[in-house]
Amino acid sequence: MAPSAPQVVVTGLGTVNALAGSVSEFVAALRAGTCGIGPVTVFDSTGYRSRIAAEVRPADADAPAGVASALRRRLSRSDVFALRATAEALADAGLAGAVPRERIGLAIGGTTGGMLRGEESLRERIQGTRDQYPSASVLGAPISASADVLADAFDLAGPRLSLSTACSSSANALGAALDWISLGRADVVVTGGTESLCRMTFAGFNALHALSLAPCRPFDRERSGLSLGEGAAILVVESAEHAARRGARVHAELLSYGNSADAHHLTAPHPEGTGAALAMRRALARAGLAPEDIDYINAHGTGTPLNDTVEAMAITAVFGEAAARLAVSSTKGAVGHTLGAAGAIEALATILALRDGFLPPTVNLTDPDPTCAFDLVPRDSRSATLRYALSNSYGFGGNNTSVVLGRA
Amino acid sequence: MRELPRVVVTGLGVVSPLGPLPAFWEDLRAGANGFTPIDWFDPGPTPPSTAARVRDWQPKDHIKPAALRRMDRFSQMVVSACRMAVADARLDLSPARAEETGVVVGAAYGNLTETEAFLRGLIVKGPALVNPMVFPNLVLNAAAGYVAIELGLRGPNFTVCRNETSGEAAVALAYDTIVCGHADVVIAGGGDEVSPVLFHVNKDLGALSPGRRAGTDHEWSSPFDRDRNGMILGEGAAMLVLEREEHARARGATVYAELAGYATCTVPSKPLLWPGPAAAAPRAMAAQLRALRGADEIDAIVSCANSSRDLDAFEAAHLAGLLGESAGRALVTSVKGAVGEFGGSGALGTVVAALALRDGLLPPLAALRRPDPACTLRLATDIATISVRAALVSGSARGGACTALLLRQP
Repeated sequence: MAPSAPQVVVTGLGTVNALAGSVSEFVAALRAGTCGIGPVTVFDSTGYRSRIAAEVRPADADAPAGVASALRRRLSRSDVFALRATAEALADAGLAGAVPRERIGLAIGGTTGGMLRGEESLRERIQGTRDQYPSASVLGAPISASADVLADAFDLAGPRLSLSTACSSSANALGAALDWISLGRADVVVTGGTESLCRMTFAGFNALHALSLAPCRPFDRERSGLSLGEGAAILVVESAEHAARRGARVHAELLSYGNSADAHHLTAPHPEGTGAALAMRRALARAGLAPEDIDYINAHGTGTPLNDTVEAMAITAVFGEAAARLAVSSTKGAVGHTLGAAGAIEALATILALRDGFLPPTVNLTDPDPTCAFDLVPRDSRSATLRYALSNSYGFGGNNTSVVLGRA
Repeated sequence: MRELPRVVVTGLGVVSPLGPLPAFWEDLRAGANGFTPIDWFDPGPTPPSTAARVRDWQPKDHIKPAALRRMDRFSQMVVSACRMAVADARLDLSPARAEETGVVVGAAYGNLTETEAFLRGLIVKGPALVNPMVFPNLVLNAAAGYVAIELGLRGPNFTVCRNETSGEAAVALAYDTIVCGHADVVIAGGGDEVSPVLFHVNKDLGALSPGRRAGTDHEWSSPFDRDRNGMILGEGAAMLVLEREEHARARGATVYAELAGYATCTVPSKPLLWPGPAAAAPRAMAAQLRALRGADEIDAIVSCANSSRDLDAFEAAHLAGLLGESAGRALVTSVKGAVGEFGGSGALGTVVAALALRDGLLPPLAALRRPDPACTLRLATDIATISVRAALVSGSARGGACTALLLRQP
């Protein structure tokens, strides 16, 4: 990027996830090391090997007040998460009336969108209780529908993008938002991701034997798979200059992102983690930082034996001796693997760590994998002064994204 | 505003209802269409029962058998189009170059066919019997992942999902990816396939044309026609090799066009519905367009008009507003009267713009008979040989996301 690229900062935060219906609740739960993984209730999990997930609590899964009943009926579960997180982030940023509507962009990521509802209407058709698909159950299924809903509900008239790169979707959305601010395409971008649990992903990971029978234990010697989760996180980003001019509170700096493709296999990571290392190196180079500058990595850390091994290898390859003083944790033991929302939820956890000076723990980690030559922050959070941090997200398709964040 | 690197188009690859290049271009110029009665699933007892199906495409010509067995049909189309685009661009994909080559695919729905089959199996037979081999194909970015694997590309890899403008949005994101320095080369475009679920939902909504126009047995519904009566679903994949100009010059590539940039905005629209004419052409988007090199030289427009009453009315007002006084000068066409509507149609429109710049001609609106008097644009009723200095690709979608790409003579 040209040296004149502006500094970009995060001025608004919002989330819904298994631990929290707000950012303040999320901070408290991360600090407390709470695990949000429990029995699946959003659909009948009979017949699945694993029957647990990190579900959003019912009170946080209702359409927010003020949504008209006509729209309410059309909303998918992931639309609702996105609406709630966006409302919180916009209020936090104090954006109302501060920026012309056509200067506010929207870049979100997700994978299954409204699939949960689509599955229900398909079942009704198979059972013969319905002869047509409700249009919203199909046309409203792609992740683009959540972007349409947000643009309509909050009158966001700038550029709009919805990205779907599996489990790195919302990390890439953050990247697009950063580039838009750099290029002057928008003054402010509402960015992040949303995902709801559905049978399709649950059945798919179940059939791949990737689901853990007990709450997932990232980086544990005895780890045996991932736990799915759901939720949304939305960030409001703008240039530092724009934020200063309107007197906005800055939570953190968004410095850079790096993306790479493994070009190896659709689901299995490259055995040496070369793609993951390439994404981290690209992100660091664009931020103008050396490995020694990074204090904390929020790892992709799904808890599958292979992912965590390969990610640890990639971190070691990039950080070398600097890995010894690095703290690396996975928040998936707490909020599960939220797929398309994971990049955004974990970037949010990283921002909170930088802002409030603590290391989010790897929940459920009791016996750290000895091949990891860095501090995995097992079980308990602790205070720490952090300057720069990296958030890693890896997805099906061999898609790798790393985002660099810094203390404000 | 700092000077951005220039981006050029150096390769084109097409899988379409009019075949690959050059057949696609020849048929389009001749005013042909790729519409066909649906016989690969049950379209129901009454019309509409027509769609545009890709033809003259053999996946095995582009993909090795072992890879082909794993790959879903949508991914096969995208990978095939990428291989054609790379060959057309004579792109060197040695490991060092491939590391700096990215992929951006736009798809509105992707692999809905296998998604439905997977879920039917799950619902009918239960979770113990689902096929784990199919599951990875159900993520929207499977196609982009396969492209990376098949071609060895390790650069940025994105998949955009933005309704009918997924293709335009993908090209726009690829442009940003190059000018921001994330990659020297990006293979960008989009695709989708006609699936039973998508067909039936649009049919039930009344969004599809019965095929033949009312009162005739030989006339198709056409974009911008007074008597248009709905869209026809299409499918295919169109991929373009986009490249930093310096990079293209250094390797002696043949350049179709410069991608001068894009203008974009969101217009008020209810989710899942086309925007109305009152929402058209916000000043901010017109100003973005005017700021691009070549914006005062737009001689040709490839419009998103798809023969639905609402979208075409919006688009006529949108283009008139975007272009202001020069709207009457540019000649307007659309590919959707020939290949139908799908998530990659805007990428196919971008291919048409590149070819129009190269050849100095614009294909007609194939079936246009009675131009809508409410549309004040200069419509391409017949094939036209024109001097094209710059061409605009205009995309607008359900939900109100709009992107206009500007291509110009290199």
